[in-house]
Amino acid sequence: MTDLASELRDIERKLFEIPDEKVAQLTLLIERSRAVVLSAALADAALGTLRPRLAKTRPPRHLTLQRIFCHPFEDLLVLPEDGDKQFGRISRSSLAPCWDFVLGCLDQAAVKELEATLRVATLPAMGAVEDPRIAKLGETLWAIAARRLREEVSAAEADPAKRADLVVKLGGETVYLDLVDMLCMLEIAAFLETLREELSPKPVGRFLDSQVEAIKNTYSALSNFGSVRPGYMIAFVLARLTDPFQALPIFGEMVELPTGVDDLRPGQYARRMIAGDSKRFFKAIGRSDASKMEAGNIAGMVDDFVHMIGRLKADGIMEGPQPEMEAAGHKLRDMVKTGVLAGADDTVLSALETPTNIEPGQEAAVKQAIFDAKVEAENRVYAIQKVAKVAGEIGADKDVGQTLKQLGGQLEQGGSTLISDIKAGKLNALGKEAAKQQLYGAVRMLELVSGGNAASKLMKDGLAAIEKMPA
Amino acid sequence: MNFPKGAGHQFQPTKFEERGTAVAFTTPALSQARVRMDSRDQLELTVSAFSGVKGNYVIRWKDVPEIFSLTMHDRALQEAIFAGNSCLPPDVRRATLETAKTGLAGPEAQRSAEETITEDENELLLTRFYLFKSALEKLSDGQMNLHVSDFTASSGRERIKSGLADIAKRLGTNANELYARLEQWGQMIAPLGMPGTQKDCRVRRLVNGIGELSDNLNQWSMTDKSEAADLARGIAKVAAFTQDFAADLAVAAVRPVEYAERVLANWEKATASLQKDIERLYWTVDGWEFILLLWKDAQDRDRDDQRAAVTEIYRVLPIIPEKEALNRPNAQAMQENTRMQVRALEGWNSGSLDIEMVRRVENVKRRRI
Repeated sequence: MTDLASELRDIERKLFEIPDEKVAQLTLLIERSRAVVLSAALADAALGTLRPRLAKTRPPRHLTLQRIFCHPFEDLLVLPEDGDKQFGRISRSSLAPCWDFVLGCLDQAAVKELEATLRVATLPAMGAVEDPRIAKLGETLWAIAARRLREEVSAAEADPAKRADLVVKLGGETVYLDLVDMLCMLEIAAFLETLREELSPKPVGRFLDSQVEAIKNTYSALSNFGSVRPGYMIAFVLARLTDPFQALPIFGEMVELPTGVDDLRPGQYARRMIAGDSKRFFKAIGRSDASKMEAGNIAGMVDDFVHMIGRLKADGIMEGPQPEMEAAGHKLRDMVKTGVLAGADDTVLSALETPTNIEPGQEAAVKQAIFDAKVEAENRVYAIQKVAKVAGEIGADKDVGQTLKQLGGQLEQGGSTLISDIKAGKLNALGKEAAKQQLYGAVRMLELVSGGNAASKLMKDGLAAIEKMPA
Repeated sequence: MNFPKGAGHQFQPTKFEERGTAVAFTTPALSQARVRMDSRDQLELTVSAFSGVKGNYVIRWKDVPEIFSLTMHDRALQEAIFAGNSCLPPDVRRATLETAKTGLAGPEAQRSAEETITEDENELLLTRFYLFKSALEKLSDGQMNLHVSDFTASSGRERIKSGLADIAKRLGTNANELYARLEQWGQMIAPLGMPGTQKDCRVRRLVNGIGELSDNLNQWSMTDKSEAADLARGIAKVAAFTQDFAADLAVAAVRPVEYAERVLANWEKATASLQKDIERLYWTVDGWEFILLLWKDAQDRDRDDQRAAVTEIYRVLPIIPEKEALNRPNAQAMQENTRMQVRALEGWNSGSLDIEMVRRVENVKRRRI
């Protein structure tokens, strides 16, 4: 275990030095060893370490029938926040029981044939965006699985006793509902594959005109395609976007078209899914621990939260009392106080201190420590400034404003002291260059905290004082 | 969108000196604005028109701090360039590194500048060593051997000089002068390094990087469906053209090493031509370092950020001016290709500085090629 852990650390360190081919070999080895030689947790940890490199290199991945089965709905997968079913999403914890059930329903001879085909299929090239084996083999697997699952689900829906049995067999109501979602996605898989091409690479940023057109056309085609539920395409689209709100006007316009889900219209479906995702985000905030987070990450979370509630309000989603949202806002306010504002003065002011009496041989270590302290101080100030822009939305504006004011005051006072020391000749022994370095450090920090005007004055006064120092 | 060759065309720079040198300002609105000399040999700044229309503003260099709300780093940089009163790329680069070394653009930019300066010094030492070695071996018919220690100790330098005496006489000069000429020559070609050595020095890395950027953006454009794909293809074409142009200049700049005796014997004339080649090379690659780093930074980001980076690169793309690229194959196609106009400066001109926008520009300053 220790050996593997140190191996992983080593890989992490050398991650971008390993040749692409080695990354590909390593990835395949780990994936094939999963549950055979390595435990699933160890394999996942190893893959987690490799992930940044995988995203860049895109080596061919070890493909299984389960992975092909999941492909049409993989965008909808989320880590379970609680045991409840989330609208438009599928819990990762439902994958194993559902796949076991599907496998049991399929004709075993057909499964073996597919597995044999998979073994001999050519691996995609390094860096390929898509794995052509998925579409090729998926076409068959998705159709067979959808047909068999439809029979099972229809029978269960028609008979409460059968439904109850199936729920027990799968391990719970949420898993059953996730299975139904998987089925509905499989039934429209062919449409989704065409649309996936248009909505790639993921995540999709601002929509292009051609993408909007493709979404409208596909939805319209799905609406006229037998008994499938076109609403699931909305879930697919939203899950691939960085900003799902941009899809609201598109689906909002489709007032005449069905979704096949709970009598919802496409616009309503999209709003309900966004509301569900927002609640998930609010719950995730609730679980966050400020003591284990960087100030910059907290600031980023605040920014995301404020952006999201702004959009939710603007689009009239989640009207009325929203306990999760309010709780998340309160939590963020506390996180800002403890993780961003508390101790900011110590962090910033200590970064400006100049060490004296450095032990011989310690120069490099001291230089590194000064550098680290400065980077930490700057990151902290950037975090405060980022929060400052939106602090009013979480009721932290007074705290943030007060911290910035206090910090600015301390920095100005420190600058004045530095200038007095220069004038009093206290820095003469160090020389002009060293004095300038101290001044620049103070100026930079004051600029970040209080802006250019205050920093400019300190710079001007400081340089004038240094000019008068003896050469 | 393609704009016809119209009235604006007559204002496009035709020579490197008119185009000016890109300045690594951190104030977002001035990022990669250019400094050049006016008709009275005074520095001036050229900056893209803010409203997104075609054309540039030209502002007296000394007035820049009055007109723009500059970061403290940029005030110092503006002063440093003003004090040097030169817009030559090496001089602007020196001012840029010295300013970054103050820490006014943050500790990471400061460290990056310190490391760059150290690396420059190492490259200079390495190039001088190989140049001396190659020249002395040729001039002494293999009788003189050079060791690294000859460069690091004064006794070694004296040994070289005494060994140079006979050769110097043959070339019509003295040992001290010959030594000084070789040192000066080494300094001139240090950013390229000696051909055939393992280490690629800064400008050579930059030239290679421009070629790689071209391949990279061509590949990226094939996976992108937005308008940025066209821009990426355009940038890739300009990059390929520039790489080709710069590679030829680089070859020409180090070729005289092959006939060192002639160069050292006709020093004044030979260096004038060598200096010209090197200067053209500096102008050619000017502005590309920022572009390479910007793209490197964007590669780890999402598609929207990559598109924004492509748009930004297109905005600051250093086109080789018409008269500099005369008779080059594809020169006209490259010029035509860059007549598309784009702008993506949202939020960059609100008056006060946006600290996050500044940080984005500073992020690029932290990196090195």
